[in-house]
This record gives sequence, C-alpha cells and structure tokens, in this order.
Amino acid sequence: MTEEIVFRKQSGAKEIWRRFKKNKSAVVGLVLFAVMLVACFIVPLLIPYSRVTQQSIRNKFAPPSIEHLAGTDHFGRDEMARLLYGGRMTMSVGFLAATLSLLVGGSLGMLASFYDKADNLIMRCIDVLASMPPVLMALAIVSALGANLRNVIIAIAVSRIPAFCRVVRAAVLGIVDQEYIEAARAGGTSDFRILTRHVLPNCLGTIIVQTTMNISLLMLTAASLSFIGMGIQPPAPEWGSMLSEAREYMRSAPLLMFLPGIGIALVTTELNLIGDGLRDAFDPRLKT
Amino acid sequence: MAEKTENALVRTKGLKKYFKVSGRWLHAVDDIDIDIDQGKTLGVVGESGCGKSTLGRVLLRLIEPTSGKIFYDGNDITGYKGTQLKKIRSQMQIIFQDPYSSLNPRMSVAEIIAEYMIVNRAYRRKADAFNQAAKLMDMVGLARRYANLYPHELDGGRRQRIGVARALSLNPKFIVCDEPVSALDVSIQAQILNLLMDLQEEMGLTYMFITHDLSVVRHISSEIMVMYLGQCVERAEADELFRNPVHPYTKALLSAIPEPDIETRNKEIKVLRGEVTSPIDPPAGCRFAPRCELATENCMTDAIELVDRGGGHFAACVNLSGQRTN
Amino acid sequence: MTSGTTEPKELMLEVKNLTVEYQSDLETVHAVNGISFSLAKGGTIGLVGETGAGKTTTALALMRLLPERTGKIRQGDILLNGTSVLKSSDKELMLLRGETIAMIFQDPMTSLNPVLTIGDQISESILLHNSQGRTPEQIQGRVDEVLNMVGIPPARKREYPHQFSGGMRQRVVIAIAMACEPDLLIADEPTTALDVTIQAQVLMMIRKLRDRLGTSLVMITHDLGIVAQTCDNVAVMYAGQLVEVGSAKDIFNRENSHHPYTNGLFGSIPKLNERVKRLKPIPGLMPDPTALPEGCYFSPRCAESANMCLKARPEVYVKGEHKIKCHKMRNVDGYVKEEAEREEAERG
Repeated sequence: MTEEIVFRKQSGAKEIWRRFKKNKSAVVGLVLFAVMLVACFIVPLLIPYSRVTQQSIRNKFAPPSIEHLAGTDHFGRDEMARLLYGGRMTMSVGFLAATLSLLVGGSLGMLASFYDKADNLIMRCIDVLASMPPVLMALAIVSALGANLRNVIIAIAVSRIPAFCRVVRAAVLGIVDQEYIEAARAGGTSDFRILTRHVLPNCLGTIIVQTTMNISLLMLTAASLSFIGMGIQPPAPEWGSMLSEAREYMRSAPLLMFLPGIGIALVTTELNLIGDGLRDAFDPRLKT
Repeated sequence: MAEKTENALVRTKGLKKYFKVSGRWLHAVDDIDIDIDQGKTLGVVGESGCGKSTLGRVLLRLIEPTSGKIFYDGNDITGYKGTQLKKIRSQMQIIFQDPYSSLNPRMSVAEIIAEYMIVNRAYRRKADAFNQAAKLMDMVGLARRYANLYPHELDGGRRQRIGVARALSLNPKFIVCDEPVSALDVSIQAQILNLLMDLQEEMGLTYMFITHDLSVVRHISSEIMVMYLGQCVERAEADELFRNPVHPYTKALLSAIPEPDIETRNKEIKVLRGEVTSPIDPPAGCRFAPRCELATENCMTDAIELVDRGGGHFAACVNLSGQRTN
Repeated sequence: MTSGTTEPKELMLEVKNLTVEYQSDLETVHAVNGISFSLAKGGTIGLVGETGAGKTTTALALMRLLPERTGKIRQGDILLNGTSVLKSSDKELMLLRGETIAMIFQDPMTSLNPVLTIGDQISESILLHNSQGRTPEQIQGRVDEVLNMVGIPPARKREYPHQFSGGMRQRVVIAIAMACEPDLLIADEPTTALDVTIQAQVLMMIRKLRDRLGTSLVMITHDLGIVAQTCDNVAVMYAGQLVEVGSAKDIFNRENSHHPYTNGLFGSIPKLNERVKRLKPIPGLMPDPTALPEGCYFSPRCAESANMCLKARPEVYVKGEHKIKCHKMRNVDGYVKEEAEREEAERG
C-alpha cells in the first residue's frame, strides 16, 4: 500500500516518438522527407532566384554538367534551381491548403457530428459545395479572386473542404456512440473538453492519414491549375507546371519530365509512410 | 401509490421517456414511479429492450425525460441546468456494462480515474487528483502498478474496477450500476459483486442495479422491480418477490432461469410463447397480454395499474384479484 | 441416420489426448492441452468453462475448422463413429460436416447470410448432402418440415434473416444444422446472446429435438445452469485441460469430492433459493496461455494448493465415471490413479 507511483504522462510527444521510431518504413519516410525539406527550403536561400528565371536560348536542353547539375530546360533555365524553388512552392501550397482545409472542414465535420441540430444544416451546405467538381470550383474561385499564390491556396483548400468535413464527421460519429463519451458526460465534462480530450485523440489516426493523403491531392490540384494558366503564374517554378511544360519534350528531354514527377511521387509516398507511422504511434492499443 | 417517507434518496414520479422513431413513438420508459431509500439497492430486471438502461440514464439526466419528475434528496432536479446540473452529477454516478467501450482507450488508468476530479476542480493541484486516484485504486483493489497502463492492457475484471473507481471519485451517494457484471466471467463477476457490496456497506452508497440476471439481482438487491416494455409490472422486497411472485411475467422469468442443480431438471418450465412485442406505439391494455396464458379480452382493453397487494408488493395485472388469498 | 436403437455403449465421439496450439510469429498459445473424453451415441456432454478455457477451440478442432495458418493440432486423435477426423481427406470432411456432425454458433446475427432468404439457406445445406437424390420439390418439402420442427411457420421461409428476431434467427441456425439429421450436434454457447425467456424456448427445443432424433450433443457453455438442465455428462475445462469429468450426478452432487476449480465456480454463482451474505470468488485470473505455470495450472489461484501442486502436473484420479485431475485426490477414499485402474482393467 505504501508503494509510491510516479504518474507518467504517457501520451506525450516523447511516447509518441518512441512508438514512431519502431516503425522502420515511417522512419525512412521521415528521413527522406527531412532531406527534401532541407533541399527545398534551405538550399534555395543560398542560390539566387535569378538562376530560376534567367533564360539562355542557346543553351536550352543542355545535359547535366557542373554548371547545371540537372541540365537546363526548354528556355535554357537551370533545372536544378527550378526544381528546388519549385518544390518549395509546391509543398508550401500543399501544406498550407491542407491545413486550411482541415481546420475549416474538420471543425465543421466535428460540429455536425456532435450536435444533432447543426448536422443537417452543415451537411446540406457541404453537399452543395461537393456538387461541383473540385478542380472546377478551384478554377471558379481563382478566376473570381484573381490568380495569385494566396488565392490559389484558398481556392484549392475550399475545394477539399467537403472531403475533410465528411471524413472527420464519419470518424467522430463512430466515437460519440462509445460509452466513454457518456461516462465523460456523467462526470460533468464540458462539451469542449469532451471534444478535445475524448473525441479528437480517438479519431486523430483517421484524420492524420486523410490529411497526408490529401496533401498530395492538393499538390496535384495546384499543378492542374498551373497547367491551364490559372495557378501559380510563370515564370515562378512549380512542380506541377514544370511537369506539364516538359510533356512536350518528353521524347527529346525525358529528364525534364522525370525530375519534377519523381519529386511529386517521393513527397507523396513519404507523407503516406509518415502518416501511417503517426497513426500507429498515436494509438496505444497497438503494441509495437 | 402511497407516498413514501422522506428517506427516499432518489424518487421519480410518472417518469416517461419516449423516443421518436420515424414519426412514431417508442415507449422506452412509460410512467415509472420509484423510490430508493438511502443505503438500499433497487434491482431492475427485464429483458433486452424493456427500457431498463434508458431508465437509469434518465435518472442521471444523461437523457432528458419526456415527462415526469425526478427527485434527488427531496429536490426536484428535473429542470436543473448548468452548474446546478454539474453539481448534482457529482452526487449521482454510473457504472457501465461494457468495460471495453466505457473507458477511453487513449487515456491511462490513472488519467481515467483522475479525470472527473480534474474536470470538477475537486483539488487545486492536479497532483492531488492523481494521489486521490491512487487511493481509489487501493479502495477498489487495483494494484498501483497498473496506474500507467492503458485499459486494453488489462482484463475485463480489472477494467471494471477502473469503472468503479471512476464512479467513486467524486464521492457520490447514488450509483446506477448498468449491468456491471454481465460481460464478465462468473469467477470475476463474483469478485466485482463483492466489491460493490463492500463499498456500499463502507460508504453507505445507494444503488440502482440494472441487470437481466435474476440470480445476481436477488443477491445484491433489497428491492426488485421487474420491467416489461417500459412499464413496471411488479415490484417488491427482494425475498418476497422470489418467494411469492404474482405477475405471470415474473413467474415465467423465474421459471426460465436454468438452475445449476439437477434436482430441478424435471421441474416444469413455463416456456413463454412468442417474443417481446414492439415498444413502438403499443396498444392500450396490458403489454404482456399477447404472451400471457391468463390473458382475457379485458387485458387487451383495460388500462392496468400497479396495485399494492400488501406489504409493499406491487403488481400490475387485472387477473390477480382473488388469486392470492392474503 | 438416426441411431436411437443402438446399444448404449457404442461411442459417437472419442477425443484422445487432444492438444491444440495457435502458433504466431511471436508466441505459441497453448489453447488445448491434452484433453480426453468420450460421448456415447445419443448422449449429451456439457463442456463448461470460462473465457479462454479452450472450449471453442475444442469445438473447432472437432469440426476440423481451426484457422489453417495458425491453429495446429499437435497431438491426439478425434474419432467420430470410430473413424479418425484428423486423417480424413478434405472431401470426406465436406461430407462429414453437416451429415454426421453439425455446429451451432453463439451469435445468430453473424452466422446467417444476410442476402439469402432463410429458405434458401436451409435448402442449400440439404442440397450439399443430397445423397438420397431428392427432387427440388422434395427439398422444399424438407425445408418446410425442418422449419416446423424448430417452430417457425414454413410460410416465413421467403424472408431474410433481418426480418427475424434474435431468438428466431437462432432457431433458423438450428434448423440449418438439423436439416441433414446429423448424428452429433455441437452447440457453442447457443443461447448466450438471447434473453432468458427466449433461452428457455431454445433450450427446450434443443432438448426435444435431441430426444426425438437421438442426436448426440456437445453443449459448450459457461453457464452451469444450462449444463444442469440439458446434459447427462459434464466436463469442466480450465486453461485447456479437463479438470473434472463425470456424470451430471457426480458433478452437481455437492457432497462429492470436487476439483477446487469446480468448487470455485459453484461458490461464485449467487444462489436463487437462498441468500448468501458474500460470494466466494476465485481469486486471480486464468493463466496466460502463452506461459502456463509449472505444475498444476490452477495452483496459482487455488486455496488448497500445496508445495507439490506448484511443481508436478497432477494425475487423474478416477472413481467410476468421475475423474478429477488434482493432487489432493490421492488421499481421498475410492479414487484411484487412472493408469492404475487401466492396468487393473487389462489384467481383469
């Protein structure tokens, strides 16, 4: 009886990291992702932006060399610099838009599933939003607001709100039925605390996986907007637009298409690996 | 029904809860009057769908009643809101049936037990709440070394002890036990039943014990109420009910229990015909009538009332008058 | 295929030293550890035990339905009508299941196919074992007959499982099991998911069917009451072993000597006809089946456990039909070691 217990706060970041570390593929994903983050967000600080825009028609389609590590594109611009700056753009757009979309859509979904009365109102509005194809809606918003970085982010974020809202609503609905929510109520817990302490942690796994998957979708939407000239405006580089521009020279200069394509594929894969790892790490039921 | 003395800790008057099911009304709890004295246990028995769990939740105001009144310690708590409700909830607690879904899987044992105290700011410092949680663990027979484990790492019996500790954490006077042992194996079930009875003795707790298991209910209850389709069909002191059941449904229930004794093998089992009828917009008259062998035409039309048959033994059946020479 | 006329000694089922393990990458679960019992034709045996005792694993092994990748029968044999189930080919097994041996599962909600009418599900099992060469009309006739037998109006055979209540669904499950008049019926907690009054109906029906068709029955349950009401023989299971086997009279006569676990089970149930102040639960928990204790498996929870119990596996002591696997029985009059008795029988 005199046994003294030190209460550990187990669900803290340290514990999650400990469990995350045990998932080998997630760690590989995280390391690769970190490398790409450094490459796209730190290295561009060391290269002047002029390398991205400086054209040299005589030197177009140059093969890789010391001067141009990844060769040059159809305007003779340095491909490496464009890749790095483009990655920064693509990832920023993806992350910011996903965060925005998750915050708005997720909150709406949570409110809808938690309060019966709000459910119908919110979900019918979401249905209206979902009745338009995402790309078309993003397009409409960009044309209404004007094509610039901020508006592109807003536009593609809004286009994914229905998806986030529905996913979060479904996840929360599965949890509000559980008896521990009723138990929390019986103890006089406020709705806010029930949401943050009991509901959210239990649907975090689903939300994380959905978010990481959606980041890649959002990056692709941004790319399609660039492709039809309504996204990030040239000459600013962006992986999606680089990919579509390079399509024309697929036979003569395949590298120009492969590199941004590989970039997108890598980021998407890494994010999915990290997402899987995080989902498991957040769940104490899985013994790892 | 005669008014009981002021001893009743929990009392209801004409309590009803109807749920709307595609435009029609499901009578989950229909006109229930109960009173439970301080320190006593009211057992509520009935088959699935008879509204016994709903009744427990309505009492705790986890579900809003459709009509009727709930009294706690003499005060009408039916209209309580906000802080008043929060305060009364610390006095009335619930232990759930399922020790798996009633504990948040993302919280450790200590966190679960301390949560109510933190939410209600029972202590100024969180550490004090955790110390109290450790004391509660001793009280319910959970070794302190489990404090940092998660519910899924423990077995059903220990999990149910967590549920008990949580329910006790705010020093309640009244606890609704909603089938707390139904999901457990017999040897573990006995451990938890003993624990609940010990705690009642030590702390003077008042229980409402909801179950479908008649042998358990007899063991723990001082008074028993038998429910059928939202209504109370019979209510009596526990031993009296078992010795002298009067309602045909109670009789059928009692005879249907398979007893662990081969001497009783050849006893006549009153196998009830048919199954429980729908609780949605039930017709007038006795709800048990379609399955009752004594049913006459009167049973289908007459409103039935719970009648005191002497000594606090209530039964709702029109065919009873004259059957018992008392 | 009824066998009501056969002499009582003939064995329907004989399980010899059955040992089942579940093998995963990380650990070996010792689910069933050398159990032996037999069941005469037309007899009933109740397999009682708590969660994790290995009851369902035993049933699945009898049907050869253990999960293929993990569940392994390590030792022993199962004889059905004298032929080994373990040595049967897949094709023989197909015939065996349904025709000779049938099983009822606990959950009537999940053991029926939701998109087929109940009539179709019953006729399917008849069609699978159609050795008599019944015509479609005859099969439909048989479906009606079987439904009548379990107390469902044949007119309802065109309905789907969701249109039935829990008790009715369990009747349908029983109808499917009984459609081919199996010689042996294994009922795995058939009434656990049902209410008491419905449980009484279903148990009564199982009893009537058994009496009428002479089916042998293995009743798996955690409820001593159900065993007392339906079974002639009882086997008490704990941690994958049979700790006590005997006739219902042997087990339910509280005057007899019993295994401490059996006594514990009885002490844990509240009595209906008398009020006890306190129950006497068994302390502790079932041992971890991946790391069973040395010596007697029950010793960590046993109030009567002695030094010897912690070290040596107990022998089985026999008196007539009553067998108890416990060290303390060596000092009890009338009980002899099983091997000693067998030798004696051979000499005599």
